[in-house]
Amino acid sequence: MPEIRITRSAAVDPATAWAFISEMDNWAPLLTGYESHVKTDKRHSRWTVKGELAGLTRIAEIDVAVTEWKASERIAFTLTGVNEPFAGGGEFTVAGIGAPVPASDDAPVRTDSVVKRIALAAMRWLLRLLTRRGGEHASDGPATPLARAGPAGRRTTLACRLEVSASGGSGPIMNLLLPAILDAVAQDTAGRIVAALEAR
Amino acid sequence: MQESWDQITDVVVIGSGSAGLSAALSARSHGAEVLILERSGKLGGTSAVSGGLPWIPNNHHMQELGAEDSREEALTYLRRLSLGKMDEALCETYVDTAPDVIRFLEAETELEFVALTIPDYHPEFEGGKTGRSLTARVFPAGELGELRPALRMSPHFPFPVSLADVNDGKTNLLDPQMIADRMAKDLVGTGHALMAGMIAAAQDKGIGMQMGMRVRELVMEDGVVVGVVVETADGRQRIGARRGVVIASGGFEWNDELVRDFIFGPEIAPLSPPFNEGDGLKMAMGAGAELGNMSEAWFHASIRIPGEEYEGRQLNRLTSAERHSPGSIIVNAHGQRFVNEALSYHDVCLAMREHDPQTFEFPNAKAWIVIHHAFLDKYTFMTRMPGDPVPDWLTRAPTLRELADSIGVDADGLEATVARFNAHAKAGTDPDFHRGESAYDRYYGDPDRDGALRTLGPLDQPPFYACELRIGALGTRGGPRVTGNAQVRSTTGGVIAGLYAAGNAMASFTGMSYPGAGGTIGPALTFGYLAGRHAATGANRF
Ligand SMILES: Cc1cc2nc3c(=O)[nH]c(=O)nc-3n(C[C@H](O)[C@H](O)[C@H](O)COP(=O)(O)OP(=O)(O)OC[C@H]3O[C@@H](n4cnc5c(N)ncnc54)[C@H](O)[C@@H]3O)c2cc1C
Repeated sequence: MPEIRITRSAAVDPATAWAFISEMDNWAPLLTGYESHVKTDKRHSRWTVKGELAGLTRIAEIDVAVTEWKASERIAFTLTGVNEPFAGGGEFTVAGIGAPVPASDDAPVRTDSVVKRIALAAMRWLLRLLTRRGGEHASDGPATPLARAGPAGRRTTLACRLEVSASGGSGPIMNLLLPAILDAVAQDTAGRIVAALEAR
Repeated sequence: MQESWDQITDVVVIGSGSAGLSAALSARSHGAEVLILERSGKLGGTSAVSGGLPWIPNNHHMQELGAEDSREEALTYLRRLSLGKMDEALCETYVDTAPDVIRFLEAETELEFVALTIPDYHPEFEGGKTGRSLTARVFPAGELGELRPALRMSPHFPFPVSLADVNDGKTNLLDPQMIADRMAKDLVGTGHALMAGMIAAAQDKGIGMQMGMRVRELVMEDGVVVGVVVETADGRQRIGARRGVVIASGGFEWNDELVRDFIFGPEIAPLSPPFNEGDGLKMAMGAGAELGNMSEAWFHASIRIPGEEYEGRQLNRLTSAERHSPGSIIVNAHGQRFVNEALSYHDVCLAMREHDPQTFEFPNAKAWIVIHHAFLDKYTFMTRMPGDPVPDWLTRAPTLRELADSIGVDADGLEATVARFNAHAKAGTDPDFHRGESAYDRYYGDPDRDGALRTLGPLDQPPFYACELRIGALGTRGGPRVTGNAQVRSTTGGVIAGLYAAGNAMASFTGMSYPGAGGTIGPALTFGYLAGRHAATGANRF
């Protein structure tokens, strides 16, 4: 299943970060392509997002269910496409760190070994097509510090893991495109979340 | 005069589509310094998002398919389709020059063309053939270097495949491994390949390509076009053109006012990127150009998937399998068929545009494709592939009657239509509209079936589905009339010196006809080439 992991550090304390992340209304509008979301109950919500690839935008509706809630630490969830054949899940984690760390130390995309080479190639190709970002995150090179260095003890590591797999007749090909799309969305969104947190 | 220019070159080309690049490459190879000005932030225009096929009668690749052609056959065929509106002289120029233009492109670029087995849209007419539609093989877009991100990408053809692959029959176009390998090599197909090849060659030859440059005015001195005024993000620029200006800015399909004034009939849904607003047409009119073929467009029966946008505007999609595969029909609000669904996309639209003087309506302008469930098990419908969930933009109902009610179609009419269609379709006939009789009708049908059954099949397995079909336009095809050198004709006689037009910006010379796949890019490349050559070989005006 195509998966991406992303880690960012923010110059805020873990409690502030958790308070922000655990309330989806805070960060929902920061999600790339966010259109709207409706909470059906404490654990379930339906999201409408607009995905963009090479100038084409398409609306997707996604049902999100929270499957695990460990206060101050971890939220796990599942995702199901409402009008598109995909499903997946992921988690957010929040942890305090004692010393400044590079703000962006993105783990490389991990995929099933069989499709790993394919996915990485597709990702490089597609990221160059992503009009807004121009592919600047496609490199496997060293991470660039994005966040301000804060005082030790007032820094938090935010991590997100997201895996999504397309099914149906178009699934195998969509799964080639997904890592690039997920990566682009995660990178953009993470950058905005860190900025919003640090602005508080 | 020189002091007043922000930039000076020999030939200015307005627009970076196939007509513009052909003009630029031709002008450059005939010794001119060339600057292409592109309004949008991407290069390639509609040509890049297109299938990228040029229709080239009597081309030298036809022999590879064992096909033969002649000048006379091509002209007979074009005459038959043009209903008296053909400009004989320009048609002759086209038929005579187009094969050389392909040779020119093969010599000047890294593009490799292949003749396709797609029949002309009316192969049954005298002079109709197979082999006139060409395609470029997949192209390594990485050769564009720093311009790679500027290549306009297509929402219609996102994968690196070429119709040459279909011809070869050796490639499974849905094989993820193949797609991934090609992506890894940054290969592109269809219109991307055509335009990447031309843009890469332009770059190599030192042709200037500037984006975000919307040309707004022609600068004229003593009746001669000597430059342009450009709108940019940083203000206006005056650019001098010592030898000529080529208008290759596409049609006016995105300009509602021009469409309302010139294109008779119901609303059209453009499929091109939303930058073709008729700027070239307006500038040519201002310069006193004679206009022609203003009421025509290259139509394409199209479908909308709600929520899909391209460059901020609703995307209108191409149709093919949806109309050609068995188990599908098109009906109007009376629930009646009105056309052979497997005709070319353009010809289907001609039927959709029919006017009924009795009711004073366009009875087929609002139309629906109706399919049954077995269709979805086997064939692709827009972006939905067999095995995918049925999207909610397909209206679904357990019976034809209920389907008719949900889409506002006459239920008795639909039931009667389907009953009659089914009775004949099972036997592989369509006495009402002759679907399946021509080789073209069958070409995009089901290759696992034979004869007319490739496209004919009953709708008898519920549930049933419907989707609205619209009169789309790949581009308009009216504009300034040109000479055999693509010089713009003046309303006062003669030509407007220094002004050229090519592609959808110029008056198409075959009236309402769409002869075959590539029928728009073939002329665009040819008249672009002629424009560039003539402009380059003229004397410097300053
Ligand atoms: C999905 C699709 C598939 C198609 N497939 C085929 C096919 O296989 N074969 C075929 O023959 N035809 C096909 N067509 C039609 C074909 O693409 C067009 O008719 C053709 O590309 C027009 O070429 P052009 O160079 O005249 O214009 P374009 O390619 O549209 O180029 C015009 C350029 O001018 C720019 N421009 C506009 N105004 C200005 C201005 N004021 N200043 C500067 N720049 C300006 C535009 O941004 C654009 O880049 C297809 C069309 C679509 C939409």
